[in-house]
Amino acid sequence: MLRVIVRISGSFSVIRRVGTIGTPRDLASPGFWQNVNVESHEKYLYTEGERMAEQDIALMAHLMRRAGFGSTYEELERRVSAGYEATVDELLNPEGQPDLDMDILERHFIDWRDMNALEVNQAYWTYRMINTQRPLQEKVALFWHGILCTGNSKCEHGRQVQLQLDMFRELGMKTFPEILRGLARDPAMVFYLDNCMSHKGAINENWGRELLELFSLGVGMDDEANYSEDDVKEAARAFTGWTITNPIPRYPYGRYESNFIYNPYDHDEEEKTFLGETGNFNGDEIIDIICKQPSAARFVARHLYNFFVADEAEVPAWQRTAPRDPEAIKLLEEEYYRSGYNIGAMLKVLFNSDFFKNARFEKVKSPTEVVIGTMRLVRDFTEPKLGLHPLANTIRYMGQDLMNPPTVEGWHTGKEWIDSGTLVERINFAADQLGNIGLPGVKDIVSRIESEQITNPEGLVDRCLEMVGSYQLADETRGQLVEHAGKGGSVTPGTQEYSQCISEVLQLIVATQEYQFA
Amino acid sequence: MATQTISVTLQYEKSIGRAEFSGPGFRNPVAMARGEDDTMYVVSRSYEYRPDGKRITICTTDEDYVGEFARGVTDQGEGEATSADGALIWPTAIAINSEGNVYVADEALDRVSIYNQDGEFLGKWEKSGSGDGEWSKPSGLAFGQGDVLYMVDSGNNRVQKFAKDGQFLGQWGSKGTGDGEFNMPYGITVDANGDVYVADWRNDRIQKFSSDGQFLMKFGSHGSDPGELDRPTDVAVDGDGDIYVADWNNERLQVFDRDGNYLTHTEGEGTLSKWGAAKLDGGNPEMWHERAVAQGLEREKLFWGPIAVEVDDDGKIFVVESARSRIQVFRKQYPRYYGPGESMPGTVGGVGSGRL
Amino acid sequence: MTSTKKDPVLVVLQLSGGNDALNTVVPHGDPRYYDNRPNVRVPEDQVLKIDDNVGLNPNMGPMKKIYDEGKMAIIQGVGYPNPNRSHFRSMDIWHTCEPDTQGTEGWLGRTIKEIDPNKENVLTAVNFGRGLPRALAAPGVPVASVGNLATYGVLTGIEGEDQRADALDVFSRIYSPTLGRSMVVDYLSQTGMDALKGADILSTAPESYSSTVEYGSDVVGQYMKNIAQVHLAGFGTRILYTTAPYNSFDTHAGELAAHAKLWTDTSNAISDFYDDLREHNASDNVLLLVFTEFGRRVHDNGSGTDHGSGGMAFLIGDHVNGGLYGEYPSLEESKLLEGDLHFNNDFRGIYTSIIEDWMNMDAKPIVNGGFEKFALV
Repeated sequence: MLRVIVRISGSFSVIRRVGTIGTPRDLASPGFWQNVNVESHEKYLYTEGERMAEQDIALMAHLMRRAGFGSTYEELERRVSAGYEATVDELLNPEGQPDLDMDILERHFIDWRDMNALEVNQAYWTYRMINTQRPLQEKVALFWHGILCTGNSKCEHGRQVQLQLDMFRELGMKTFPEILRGLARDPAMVFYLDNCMSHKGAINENWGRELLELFSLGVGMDDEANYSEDDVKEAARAFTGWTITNPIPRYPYGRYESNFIYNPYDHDEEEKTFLGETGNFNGDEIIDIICKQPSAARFVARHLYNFFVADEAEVPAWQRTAPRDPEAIKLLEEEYYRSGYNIGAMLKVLFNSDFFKNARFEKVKSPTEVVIGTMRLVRDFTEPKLGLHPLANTIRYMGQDLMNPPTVEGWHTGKEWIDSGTLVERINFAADQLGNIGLPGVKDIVSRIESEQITNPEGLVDRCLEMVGSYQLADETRGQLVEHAGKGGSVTPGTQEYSQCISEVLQLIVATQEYQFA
Repeated sequence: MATQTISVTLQYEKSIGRAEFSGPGFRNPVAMARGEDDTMYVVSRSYEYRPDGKRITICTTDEDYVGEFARGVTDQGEGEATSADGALIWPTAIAINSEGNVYVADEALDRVSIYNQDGEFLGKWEKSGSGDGEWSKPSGLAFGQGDVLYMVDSGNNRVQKFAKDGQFLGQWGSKGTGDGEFNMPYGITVDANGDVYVADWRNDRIQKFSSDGQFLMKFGSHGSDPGELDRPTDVAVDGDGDIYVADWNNERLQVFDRDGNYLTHTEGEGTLSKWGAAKLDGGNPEMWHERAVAQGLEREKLFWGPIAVEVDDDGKIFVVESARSRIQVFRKQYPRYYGPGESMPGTVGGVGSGRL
Repeated sequence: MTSTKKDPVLVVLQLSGGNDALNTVVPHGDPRYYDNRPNVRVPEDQVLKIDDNVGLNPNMGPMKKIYDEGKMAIIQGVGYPNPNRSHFRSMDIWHTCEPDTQGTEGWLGRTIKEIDPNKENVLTAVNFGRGLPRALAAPGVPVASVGNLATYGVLTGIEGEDQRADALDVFSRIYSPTLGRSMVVDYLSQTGMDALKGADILSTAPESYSSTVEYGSDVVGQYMKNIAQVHLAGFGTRILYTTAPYNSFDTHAGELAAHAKLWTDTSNAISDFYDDLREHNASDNVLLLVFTEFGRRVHDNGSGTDHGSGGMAFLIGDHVNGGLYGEYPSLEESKLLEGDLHFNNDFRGIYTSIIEDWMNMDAKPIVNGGFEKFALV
């Protein structure tokens, strides 16, 4: 790559992003410089090749934010060399990447073997998301966790909810019926929605209702109900006898997980009529009927779009709100049927689509994305150490108590993540991390920019923006940052002031509105 | 595997402990040592969210609660353990010298804290580094003859020797898989002859050395078959020279003879402890019924996180379970040969100790 | 910021999960209650009797005392037409007063807009807890949402007074409203500015507070304490809101034990709150509303109760006309609505009473229509 350094100033917003003004040959021609004021500032102009590279980096940053939790600049460069589609394939096949060294982790976090308390499990998941080399596997687990919700507040056994996440890790990119079958047999869910309290002749319809309303069909599509109250009852009947083992009491040695069992004596063997089909259905057949429904295809497609592409209206409004991008939903629905309800196949279509690639910064980050993304950027907690529990708590303070959603309907997402309280938490957290020059990821950014000998405020701000994930600021905001960066006069690479200046710019970048978007 | 092994079995005696953040019980215990008479010291590591559970419990082998010390406090804010003198953050090991003083290693603080037998803080060694007499993540402690303290310096993949005043006496080992090399070694013990055994954790083997660090033998390799190991955390040797290994990831205790031949193993036989029963009687009587109808209660027998093993002078074998907050106690059974002049156990004339 | 005249203050405690009205205000005089509740019932001899027909759950002793002092109104059979049994949706309806469409503006958001149309005080409303309830949300309405009252501020980690002042200066310029950006960014900008203003003021509240009252360590107890602290600090805060977390009132199973603990904590928190205010002679301009999104099914399911309709609400305060309001919904089989209590009183009537008779404002635009009032205050 050829990098051309010219000295240039003026209001060159045209060239601030990259050298759209010409090739090196153009720059060499005297005519080119006629209308340009040359002053003492340094500014990179990029060759056409570099421009492509920066665009590729920006696209890869987008992919890694959505299909993962963000990446360092170095990782993005590596992935760009590997290629976009190859990266998508790697993400979709997590088993190809090594898992965490659980032996070393359990040796240090001695409480990770029995994982009794919610807080222990939250610390574990936080660590896992920061360090996983299978980012999409964790992101998909988070995706399903926010839809197929189970809360610790009722289960009161963190490990039992953690085991449900293991199920999402294993099945999350397989087919929708496989996932629902796993869910229906998941002990935490059986307990959370009281299916263990639903008996032949005395149903508890909680699971039956939420399976239809929240987990598969939704309250309605295009203003039509997708199921009736009778369907709820019939589904509940079909799942009678799906229960869990009596638990071993928590005292004196701590809890043991319960297991799923099928009790044929408590199963309603009578005929059921569900969504227009009649038969002596058991739970799996109910799931099969569900997955065939157009509303199930719509449900999965809209949720995938909402989570991975762009914020939609809140879920309860979907009955009356058309999809933001009906074409995209249609494409995903088609893939749902074509692939035999395969989530991984739908994700592959999604990530390789233009609608995905063009949907930059169209999502408000969830608290998990803010915290994990920031930690992956600054590369802290890459090995066992103290402080993991307070770190995990920051996600809770920002409004997402992982493994303990407020209701079975999960969290309100998008703009709803933000209020004055959670915004303060987000800004303070990220600024504290990026302001810590001792952290490896911050060090890397500083030394990279240092090695590029960038000294002018504009160059610093722009390069910092690229380094944290190719963020694009409003012109006004960028102007404020540039002004702030230039306040102390010129800074010299290699000095304390230089690192300080970069660190301050980084802190302000993560304090912007733009950083709240993925 | 040698063909000539004698029939050794482990007989379960009882369980000690229950899960508590203070008082009678332990929380994520990682190590124990036998004190004078029937006392024992148990180190609870607890977890970051509950630093108040970090402590050393003194009790008897009959589960009489004596007291606790070095208890973590939460007054620095949620999840912040204190690093004040005498406090613990990530304790790993405990050893008691001939004077009854208690030495506890902490891998988060790179510290050895010293207490008297009542738990009064006496002093600390804190020398983080990789030079002679410095350490990184100390993970095993054992006293040898003359109160020489052997420390597993896990972060530096070596064993160091100290006089009881902390004077550096020697060291051996480096990172690797060869004889005398280590990969994140963990527990350590010294036998009656003064030989040293190290749980070479990430090499899935036990290594034996002379007191000056001469490599003597090794046994174990990665796996889950009898005799194979998966991340052994601790090792102990009884008066007969038989070797007990906490086979942590395999959730079992394995027994080897003095040459490293596999003898037997147990996956645990835990029962309700005295403190455990008291917990149910006192305020949780409904749990008696819950236990009666619980499905899969047999899981309670099994080890969960057998992280440390200790054999006392009386031949009792203690297995500390980090994930169950209890200690299972066993005794070794084996055929004995009674020679001329010896008498059967329980008869006049003492117990024979002859072995085939 | 000390207010000279005592403006009416509204405190709202939201009981998320759907409180079981039948086991809270117990119709002990109606044998049909016991017929329908073979397992999940409050025995008649344990009910804190109000009259021959109804009484309070035995764990509500401190609230019964307030009731006996004539300072608590119990509104029975509260709901809305076509009850929705989804937590999310039903709570939204209570929050937005929009039973037929998905509303985005909260009734209190609109109230705040009326109280402080020029946004002169960023602390007109304060929420305690994480995440802003939709009741308080309205475009352009600043509401401070406080997780931890003790450490509240923007860019608090920047070391050095000058550096932090500089950074806050840049921050305030970045977040000042600009044109032509997306709605979400505008919302973020406004939220950031509100946070900046509110933070410094709020952080002074705990410093100036002292009290002999000791609140419980449960979440509701602690947040009621924070509400008292902010009220007593005199920031001109008119609406204070908090939520019993984790949908804890969702008692599908194991209800008797769970419900007992919930009402023990909640009653203590409410009683401590009023003791605290009285100790500071600051109770007479405070009205407390306690509500939940729906009641539960009439018949129990063996160990709990499922989502139903026909809930209840409490209004507590020195100026409340204590007593029972509204008719207790009939437990007669034919009067039930799909096995649920039929609501008698629209919740928007309660809101109307509060807004008009306590806050002294026009309720119609806030609750979306005219509803019959109760003579509550």
